[in-house]
Amino acid sequence: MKKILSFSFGVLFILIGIQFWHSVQGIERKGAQFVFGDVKEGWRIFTIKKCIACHSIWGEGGKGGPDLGTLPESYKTPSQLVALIWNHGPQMRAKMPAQKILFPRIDKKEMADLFAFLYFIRYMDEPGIPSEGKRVLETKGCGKCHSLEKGVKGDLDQWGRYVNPILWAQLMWNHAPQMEEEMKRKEIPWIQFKGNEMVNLIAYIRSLTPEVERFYLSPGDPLSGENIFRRKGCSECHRSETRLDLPKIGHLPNTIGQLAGAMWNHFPQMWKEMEEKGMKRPFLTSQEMADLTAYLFSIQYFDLPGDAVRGRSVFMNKRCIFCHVKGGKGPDLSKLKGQLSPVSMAQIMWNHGPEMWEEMRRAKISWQRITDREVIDLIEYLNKGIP
Amino acid sequence: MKLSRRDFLKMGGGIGVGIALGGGFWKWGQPPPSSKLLPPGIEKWVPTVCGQCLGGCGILVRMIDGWATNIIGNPLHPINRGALCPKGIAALQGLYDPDRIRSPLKRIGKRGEGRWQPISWKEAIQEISNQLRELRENGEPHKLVVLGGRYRGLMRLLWERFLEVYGSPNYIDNQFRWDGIPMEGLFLTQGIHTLFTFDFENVKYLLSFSAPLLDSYWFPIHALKAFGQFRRGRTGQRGRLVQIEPRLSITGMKADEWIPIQPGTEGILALGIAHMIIKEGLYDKEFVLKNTFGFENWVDSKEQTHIGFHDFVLSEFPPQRVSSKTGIPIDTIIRLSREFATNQPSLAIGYRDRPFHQMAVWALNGLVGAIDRRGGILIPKSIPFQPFPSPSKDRAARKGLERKRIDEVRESPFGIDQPYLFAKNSISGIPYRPKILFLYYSNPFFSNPCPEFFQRAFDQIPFIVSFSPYMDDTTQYVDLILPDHTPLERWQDDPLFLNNGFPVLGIRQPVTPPIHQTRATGDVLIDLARSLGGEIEKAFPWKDFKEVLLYGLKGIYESRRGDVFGLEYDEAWIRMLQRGGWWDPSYKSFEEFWELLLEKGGWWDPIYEFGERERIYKTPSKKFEFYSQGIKGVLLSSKGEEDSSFLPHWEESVPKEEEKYPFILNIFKTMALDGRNANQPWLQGILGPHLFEKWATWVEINPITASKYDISDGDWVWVESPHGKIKVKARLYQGAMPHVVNIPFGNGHRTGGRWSKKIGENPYRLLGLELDSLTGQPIHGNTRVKIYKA
Repeated sequence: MKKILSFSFGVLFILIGIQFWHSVQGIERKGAQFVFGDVKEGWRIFTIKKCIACHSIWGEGGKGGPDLGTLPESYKTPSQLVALIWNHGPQMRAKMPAQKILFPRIDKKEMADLFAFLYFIRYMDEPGIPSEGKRVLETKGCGKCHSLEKGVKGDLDQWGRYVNPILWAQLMWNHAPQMEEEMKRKEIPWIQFKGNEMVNLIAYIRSLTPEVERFYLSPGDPLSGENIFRRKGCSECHRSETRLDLPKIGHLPNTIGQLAGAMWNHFPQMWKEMEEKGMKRPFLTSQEMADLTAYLFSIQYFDLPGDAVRGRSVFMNKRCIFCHVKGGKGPDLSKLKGQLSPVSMAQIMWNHGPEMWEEMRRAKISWQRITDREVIDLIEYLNKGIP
Repeated sequence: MKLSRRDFLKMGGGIGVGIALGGGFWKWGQPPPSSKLLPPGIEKWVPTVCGQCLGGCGILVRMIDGWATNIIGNPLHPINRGALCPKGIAALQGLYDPDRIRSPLKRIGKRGEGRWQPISWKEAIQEISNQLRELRENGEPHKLVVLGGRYRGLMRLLWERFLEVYGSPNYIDNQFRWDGIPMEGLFLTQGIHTLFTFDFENVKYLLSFSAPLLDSYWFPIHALKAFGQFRRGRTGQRGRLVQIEPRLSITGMKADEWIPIQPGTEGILALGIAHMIIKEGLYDKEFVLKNTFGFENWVDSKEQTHIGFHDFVLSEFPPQRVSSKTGIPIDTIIRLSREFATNQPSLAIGYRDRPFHQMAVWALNGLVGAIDRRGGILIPKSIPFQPFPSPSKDRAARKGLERKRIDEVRESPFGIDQPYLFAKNSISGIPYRPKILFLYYSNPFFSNPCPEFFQRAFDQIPFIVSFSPYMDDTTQYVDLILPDHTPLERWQDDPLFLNNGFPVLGIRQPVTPPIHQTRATGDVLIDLARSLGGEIEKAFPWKDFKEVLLYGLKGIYESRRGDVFGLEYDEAWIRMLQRGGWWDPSYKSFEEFWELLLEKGGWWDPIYEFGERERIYKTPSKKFEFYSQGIKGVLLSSKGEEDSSFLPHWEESVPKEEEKYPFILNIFKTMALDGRNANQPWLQGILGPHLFEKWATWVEINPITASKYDISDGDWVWVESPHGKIKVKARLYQGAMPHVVNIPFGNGHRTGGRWSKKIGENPYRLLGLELDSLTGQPIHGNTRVKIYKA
């Protein structure tokens, strides 16, 4: 009996241990695949850690640093974000005393949430420009079929309630067969939307219908999106081994509005291929389209695999080796073997920044800037373990 | 009794022994030691909405063993973010007022005599129901009138629904306030009847024409918080406030500059400032060109040329004329115009003056483009309540609704109810006399100028019912009282807007079961409908007002907008999401939504969409109108076709008997009392902090003037107008203009509870019935008085 009890406790202990390990690793394991962290919590961290004192998001916040809602494609991958956080460290620390901000330490969960938030705002569109949208409407010849007059057949007035470009993408997706037929009949070529043209068009149509209640969409779930991607047959063509593998193509649009435009542009080609394969055009609900979009954006988060050999060079060239080895002045990075992800790397580098800055000043070493490629390589090198 | 020396010594000895045994004098004041400690009570904090004024502040009520014991601000409510004024805290005294009406009362003496008999709710409902039924049977449902006061939300819709299915067009909105929202200015320039906001916390320069921003503003705490933001909330920018007002108010004291002005002449000053801005070419030319109508002279479809605001103001309101009317030096007028035009964003705000005076202040905002911009006049979106289903009406109702309203408001240019016309027509019987009157949150015998006028009207109405929870001047004069719960005991919605245009819905929930035999008026109305049966009953399918509230809230839930209240970072979060077309609420079902509403205190939608012209300009030209085309059709018949009638202009009040009555009367309100709450001792104790006045009504007199009349500080004086006189305490105040006397409004109830009855005097009793021809409201600054020692 005693042996059975001891065995049971032993098994229980192991199970708890495994569970604990999983919960600790959860963020990163998830992060390697999909959106990590909690987006809303990330916004809270952004606010309470005073990032907002200098950085605004579309004008919400301080003006001391760049507006992170409108930054160009500077952080598409986690490694880019790590590099950005590291590189702007000295500049930021110089500005913080003026704003009376103490350096905030950030724990791993908080960093994961911040990452999630910063990714989320990247794929949201900046508000469109109605006057530009008007121009798009006029130059693209939408007026040949559509009217802005209320109650007229084909009027766009009713569309003004749809704020989210995904809803437009969904409506256009479902409406496209009719539209294609009509355009063929009128001998109008398939219109192409570039850049923010779709967003501007939406802004224009919205501005014409101020009294209409807006229809908003709940943020999509990437896991569910992946499921839809398979279920609706997208994966038939966009498989990893095909030329249409989306992550490999590497030019997914930056924002949802651009995605809506790109999907529209892509419709004729897509249908042609689907017809050839004998596939039916799937019908998508708005929420399915949101989930699908969340999935498509999440797959952009993958970094290419790092190279430990190049990582070693980074470790040497960036002078990390001066301090971060066994018996060195700084923490021994060999202990991080197998534990690093971009999030944990960002968190360690952030918290360690001020101390290192001081050390580097004392040693008269200039601040070592780092690229995203170097970050991945360095992570790979450290994960393999410093020999 | 004779006390000998020996007796005295004996007593002394006895006292000494007593002290020695008792341990000394200091112990006398100590409570006896308790053998065991009192058990701790069960504490909880319940979020609800303060009902002390129209501010709509969120509060947390501390409950100990089911008793409300303290009130603090709800930090999640965006209107006040945890702040609270003394009125909010004093709500406990409203709840526990020992003189509250405790059950339905039926009059047994003569009207106003104050003799009542308590009756049951069943009897009360039966009594009203019989009267209502009889009126309908006689084919006179239109003779039921509801006089409603200041409140918000679904309750108003419920009243209107009741009248609609009953067959009366007579809901009369009696919200008399000079310091109220200047609605008419908005209508004349932007064609809008709905509420608007002044985003003054985001302006650089604020020009206030007697707006009581920090005294008795529409939303006092929200205004105070906004003022803090305006002054110190923006790094490197301190807003400048110039207060133009006849009296040095708290707002004037806190302003960067106080400019005393003759009462009632704010409108002509605004036109004088407009004159200088135009003359010096300082206006926003692009805004004026693109977004306004009637600035330049224009030609109509009949090829007739009309004068525009530009030429009209330049010819009619030179600074010399304006200076002579207002008493403000020319240099100051010129300086103000330059400051206002060049410190952008700037904003001009006023009070509910006469319509074209309001329009004059509005025109200043049109000149600098302060419409629908950050730091400007904003038109918020409405709160998406689920609309009530359209009710079916029987023949009697349809017939009743065909009748003219008693205040003939359909002929009113502004579509604003006219309580004075209701009173006047009730007296004259033209078009008809009401037979049943319901009073809901309305006390015209006290809170309207010339209260006797309403009393004469009430004498003509056979059956009057009041729903007031407290005895007041008007309730004393009714036939039946059906006391409502106090705000801490009832369900209610409280929709309003932040200064930055965000819609906010506070949820008022009962923090305690009713203390007395009172009932929520919403529930009573549903019961009445049920007792009347037929289509009326069918129009009210709800069990009680809480069900009505839940019904309305479904619309908000289904609108997929906004979220329940949260911390400040939640605000930006919701806004960011919605801007991108996303909505990620804190709830997943309606039940969860409801629970969170009760837990957090309400819902809001922290987004304002600029540039939606159709919402901002509802004028015929779809622009900001310096020349009001909207009102032109209505005024043509009464005022001829002079262009000046449709442009911002000044309507001078002709001074009467200036020699006999040498002073202009200026009535003001303090933060503590604005007509309600006189039954709360805490508020009576802080009435006039600048003069340490409490439990009284006083008259503020300039010290030099007082010395001329041999009046000393604290003397009792009579203030007499051609319409009446009141005896008040004279207070010498440097902030009073020499020829103006200032009296606070709030006290002077002729009846009520022990803490309000016959405390002070009501200055509205000094006013006459000179009404503005367009709004039917009394004219501010139009009453002259004399003062003499009592």
